[in-house]
Amino acid sequence: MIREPFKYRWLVLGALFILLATLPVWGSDYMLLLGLLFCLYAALSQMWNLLTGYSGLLSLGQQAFIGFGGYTMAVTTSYYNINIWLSILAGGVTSVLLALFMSLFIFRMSGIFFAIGTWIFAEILMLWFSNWEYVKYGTGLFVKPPNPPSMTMIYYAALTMGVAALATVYLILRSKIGLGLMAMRDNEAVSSSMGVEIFRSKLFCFLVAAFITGTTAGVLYVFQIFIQPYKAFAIDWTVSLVFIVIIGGIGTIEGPIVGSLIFVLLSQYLSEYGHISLLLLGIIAIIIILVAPKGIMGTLQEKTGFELLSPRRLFSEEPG
Amino acid sequence: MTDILKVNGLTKSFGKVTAVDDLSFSMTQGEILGMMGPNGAGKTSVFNLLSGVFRPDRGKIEFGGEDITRLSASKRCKKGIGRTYQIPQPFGKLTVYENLLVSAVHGGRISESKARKRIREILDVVGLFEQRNQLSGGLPLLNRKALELGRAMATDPKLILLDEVAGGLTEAETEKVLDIVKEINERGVSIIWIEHILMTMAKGVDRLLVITQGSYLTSGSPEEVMNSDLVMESYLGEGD
Repeated sequence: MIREPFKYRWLVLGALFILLATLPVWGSDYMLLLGLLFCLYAALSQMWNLLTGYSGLLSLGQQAFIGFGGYTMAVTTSYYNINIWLSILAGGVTSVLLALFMSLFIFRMSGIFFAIGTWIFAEILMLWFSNWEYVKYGTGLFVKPPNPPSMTMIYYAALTMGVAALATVYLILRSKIGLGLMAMRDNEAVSSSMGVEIFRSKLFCFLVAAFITGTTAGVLYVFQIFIQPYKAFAIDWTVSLVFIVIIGGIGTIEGPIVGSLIFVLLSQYLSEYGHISLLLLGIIAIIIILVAPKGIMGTLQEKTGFELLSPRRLFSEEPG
Repeated sequence: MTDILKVNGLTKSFGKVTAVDDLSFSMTQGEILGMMGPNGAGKTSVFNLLSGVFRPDRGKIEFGGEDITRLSASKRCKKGIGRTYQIPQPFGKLTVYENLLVSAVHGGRISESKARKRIREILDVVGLFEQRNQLSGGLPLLNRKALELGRAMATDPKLILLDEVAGGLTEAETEKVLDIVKEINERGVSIIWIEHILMTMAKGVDRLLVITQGSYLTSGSPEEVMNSDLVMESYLGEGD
């Protein structure tokens, strides 16, 4: 029998949320910075996990939405003096439009071809933005909102994105589409014969991921103040997300959270070692994959049945 | 009786091999039609064409008076064509209940709460109530065959395509599966049935359709077909 999800899960999640929500009150500036990075990475990796871990869409081009969302925010708020929060939302909307356009091409491909297709789009965007006068070429743009938000405000925006990403993934997985995704992940052809609309489900997840990734990027670049194409559209973003999701546990809801925490802490401590830090991160990833091939949460789930948020449906006698 | 399914001039080639060759037949609502033919006659290919896994090169498929030749597999499932697989292919990482839920919610287009009632009933019919919360990947063969039937039922079909539901089962297990098939048919569901062991199928069907090399050979009642020289020649001659 499959185990019921952890009994006190809402208590654990509630405590975690309160801890994060009160961080500006009790934490130092440095802790607030770590909390902010944690929330942003959790949001971004949750979306990569939705695509690759649940929808069978191996994306290597999430940086396309990070750059596009970030630039949209920077341009609307710095050039047109639009309210910073609206600018961030605008970045989500333009990312969805970009995703729709991309889907015309890449949804004809699957597997590794889809992955390369997403990456190529990100590279094209990098070239385009670095040769575009409107966004000051490769020099980059400063984010100058009419009313610059405080660090605490930015932190709460990041927390909102982290919570929103988690809730979105959970709600999708508990919905009809999520049930179909689970079947699709197991056997695509058979799921189609059982009535699952594969194309539509995948496109839906691709668009949702684009929206949240683009919006999160907006928050990220409000914090960073400066956006530049070679960084914003770099594959490094997706490499980090892959690291986070693989060590946390691909195809688990908790995986990206645990992975983000480890990634943010590690990269802080390892940053002292300069370029070697990436090498060390890689070695750590390899060790974790060897010890726990399904990532930390995936292996924990397999060994003990422990799950905080489960997409499982159990049939108990009493309807509920 | 109205025809639920009409197949006209169905043709499908894979490279130089013509798997299904200008095949035409029809069946009435509520009928159990057995499809037989030697190995490689194209029986499973016909199923794949009917369920939408492959598109035919030529020909037309009408279901309930509607042309469905160009519809996708998922659309056909929603129109009311359910199927089982020769080798059971449950969603192994999902439980028995979740497997049935996928079919009921997606193929059957009902809400999860409504699906519970339907699935409760199906679990009893196919005898999987005890296993409902087990991962389907770990089930023994009889249970996986039963789940195939249950999944097809959960989509609320008008027609079910059964591909070797009794294959690999013991005699006693086969009886159980036959009972399930009868129960499904009594609910008004039409059935096309492929089975390798003729005696098993002959007991359950209203009419037999014989195909060889992808084409129509003959059809009739089980007695007629089993005593036909034509069938003896093409079908039983194959084994020698």
